[in-house]
Formats: sequence, structure tokens, C-alpha cells
Amino acid sequence: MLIDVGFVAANTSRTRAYLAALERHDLLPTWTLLLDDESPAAMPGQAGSAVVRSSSPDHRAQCWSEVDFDPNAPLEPWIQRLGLDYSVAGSRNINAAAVVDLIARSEPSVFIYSGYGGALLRNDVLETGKKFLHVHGGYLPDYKGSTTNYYSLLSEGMLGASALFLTAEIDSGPVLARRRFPPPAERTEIDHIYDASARAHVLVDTLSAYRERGEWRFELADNRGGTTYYIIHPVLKHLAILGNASVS
Amino acid sequence: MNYPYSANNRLHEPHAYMYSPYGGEAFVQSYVADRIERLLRLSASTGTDCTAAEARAHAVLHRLLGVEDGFPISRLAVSLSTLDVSEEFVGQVVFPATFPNVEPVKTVALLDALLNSFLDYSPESGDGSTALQWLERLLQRFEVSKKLRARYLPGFRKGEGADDDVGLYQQFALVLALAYAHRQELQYLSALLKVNDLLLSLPIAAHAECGGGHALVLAIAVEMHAVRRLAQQQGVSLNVD
Repeated sequence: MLIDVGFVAANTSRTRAYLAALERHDLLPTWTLLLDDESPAAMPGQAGSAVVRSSSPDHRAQCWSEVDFDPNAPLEPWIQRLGLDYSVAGSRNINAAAVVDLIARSEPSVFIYSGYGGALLRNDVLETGKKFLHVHGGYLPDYKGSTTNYYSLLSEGMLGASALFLTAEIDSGPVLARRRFPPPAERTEIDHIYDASARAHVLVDTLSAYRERGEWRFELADNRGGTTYYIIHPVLKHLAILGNASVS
Repeated sequence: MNYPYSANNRLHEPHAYMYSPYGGEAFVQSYVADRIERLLRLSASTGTDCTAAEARAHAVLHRLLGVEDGFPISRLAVSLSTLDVSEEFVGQVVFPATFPNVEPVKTVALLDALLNSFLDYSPESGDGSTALQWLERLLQRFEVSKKLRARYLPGFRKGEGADDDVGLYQQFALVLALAYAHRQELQYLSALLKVNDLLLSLPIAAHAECGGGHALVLAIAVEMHAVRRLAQQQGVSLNVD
């Protein structure tokens, strides 16, 4: 178990990728806050109906070591099975006053952050004094913003993931670790499987290094510059999925 | 398979494009078919008069994308052949005095400056980098709200005024087309696809009322040329001709 590291966890496929990776590598958090409520409404980042998993050669590749997880496994029973200390927020909104209060009064000084798609942390959360460790789905600083792995797949034939501490400026906080990944065998599963596994891989790298060193070190302290991308248009997303270009 | 992104009036029902479903090659072909059908219908009702700026844009795009590079795709060649081609127009480039602005900015004036800048764009010029700065800011506003407002307040975060001036979207599409033709940056192409989805989702009368149909023809021609080229680079078989 990690000392002084908590987990803010939305009910998404990415949270499940993280939890599977944390369990696999014994990097479990001291306290988890589930960002969920009773509403049945679907949220961005949820896999919806079960994602069809194909048996893939990627399962044997080291870079895809975190690809084996169930994107729809029920979260609370899983957390209970692991014996983790946790609370359910009663809200899906990271910026809700009650959620901010729970975080502010909690013990950990660093939180692994796995939120709902499109949700940005506002000043109230950032000013609790906690650090929020987020893994961006893209190689920083070149690919900031949204759905960046599809853009990098089209431009450079690769995916990326970068761990950083969140600041007020999107994707511009200091980078702890970052990594490039080759195109996966099943590009139709990027949204809920491969993007999440790439992030989980870099999360494991970051937390393992922290546990070994006892401190956070930065691969790229000055993360300014780069290009900000917005949600990719479906036509371009299809070209990235259908394409076969890869880094030579 | 139907192409859904222009099926409903996107001024009334903006699309967020989040976690878009996968539809395979059939989806991409449906996009091609939908674009051609809607554009040909629109072109049939567009007058023959073309502004000097549009004629200049046509010339610039031909020069940048080159007949040898297959611009325009053959199914749009007839629609483009009715547009004038001329290098004569030189417009004024007047951006707000500061970035970000300390006074309200009229969007039509900003788009004029952007269009005129990209008609004579050079990456080394001061005007060129200013244009990119302002384009990035306007693109951010559009991407966040899927709308263009008549004015933007100091700081260029909050907009005010009408958001249904079709002429603004037509001009924005042409600006994005020129920016992409110059710089080949995918965020411009992605935004161009969204703006063209919106424009083609509108009733034909909405275009006739404000003119500018030729700007949209040029913007679509650049978009489809770019998509075909990208598909070729990715090894994706795509029939656009």
C-alpha cells in the first residue's frame, strides 16, 4: 500500500484500468473517494454495454502490460474485496462543495485522479492544498487537450501517456513521467481499453518510482508550449482507427 | 448507413462529438456521399457572383494544394469551375490592438482580418503569428460552445450577441480551410469538419439569405481533398471521385 496517496475515482473504464494496475503492482491507495451517485444516467468515459475484448497479441507485449482488465467490473465490490478504506461521494461532480470538503478534510496529500471525461478541476479543488496526480492520454507537451491519441496516431503513428500534477492551466502542470506506445492491434478498442492501459502503465511507472525514491521527481518540469487539441471529428477518428501507419 | 452529423440543424442542436461510435469504412463512405449530395444541392441554388476575396482564396488554394495533388476532387470540380480565380484582391489585416483584447471584438472584423491574413500568409511574418494566435482563440471558443457569437468581450472568453449569423460560420470555414492548406495541422481540419457539418445541416434558404455559398464550396473542397490525402497516407481505401 502507498503511504499518503489517495484515489479520486469516477465510475469509468479508466478507473478500472487503474485499479487493476494498482492491485497488480501492490500500489494500492490509503483512501479512495468514489465519485458516484444513485443516478442511472450514463457519464462520459463509461464503457456502456460490455466492450467486446478480442484475444490480442498485445497481451504479451511489455508496453501493453496493463491491458488486461474488465472495463465493466462493479467497482464497490472490487474495492471491498481489496480491503480498501473508501467513501462514496454521493455526487459525480468533482467540483461540488460536498466533494471538495471531503477531499480537503482527508488525510492523503496526493490523490490519483481518475475523473469523468470533460470535467475540469476548478480552483476550489486545486486550492485544497492536495496534489492531484493525473495521467493525460497523450505525449506532452506536444499533444495537449482532448482525444489526443487519435491525433498522434494520425500524425506520428503512436499513442502516448503523461503523468502530471494538475494545475489551473489544462495539461500544463509539471510532468513526472511520459511514454510513447505503438499502435495497438485492435484500434477500435482505443477509447475504453488501450488509452486507459497506456495511462495505467505510466501511472504504475510514476508510483513505483515514488515508492522507490520516497519523493516525486519530474521528467519535464516546464511543460509549457505544445498544441491544444479538441475532441476529434468522427471522420478523422475513423481514419486513425482504420489506418495502418506506424512509427518505423 | 447515414451520416448523422449534418442530419439535424446544428445551430439548434449542437453536437458534442464525444465518444463517437465506430462505423467502419461504411461510415467514412457515408460521409463522402452526404457531403457531395448536400453540397451539390446547395451549389445549384447559389448565385454565380463571387466576391473578390473568394476569388483570391480560390487562387491561393489552387496554388497551395495544386492541380497535380488532385485538388479539387473530381466530383466537386464542376462546382468550383464556376468560381472566379484571381490574385488581385488584397485586404486589410487589422487585428485587435492587444492580445487578448481589452475592448470588445466584433467577430466579423476578426474573421476579415484572419481571412486577409491567410490569403497572404507567411510563417515568418508578424502578421502570420498574430493570425495563428487569434485563430487559436476563436477556434477554442467555437470548440467549447460549437457557436460563434457576434462579439467577444475583453479577454475573449465571454461572447455576446447573436450566434446564428450564417455568414460568420461560412467565413470561419474558409479561414480554417486556408489555415489547414498552409499548415496541415489536424486541429484545423477537425474544426473545419465540424463547421462544415453545421453549415450543411442548415436549410438552403439560410445560405441564400447571406450569400457566401462560394466560401462553403471552397471550404468543403479543401476538407474533402484533405480527408482523401489523409486516408491515402493511412493506407485507408476511400472512394471520393
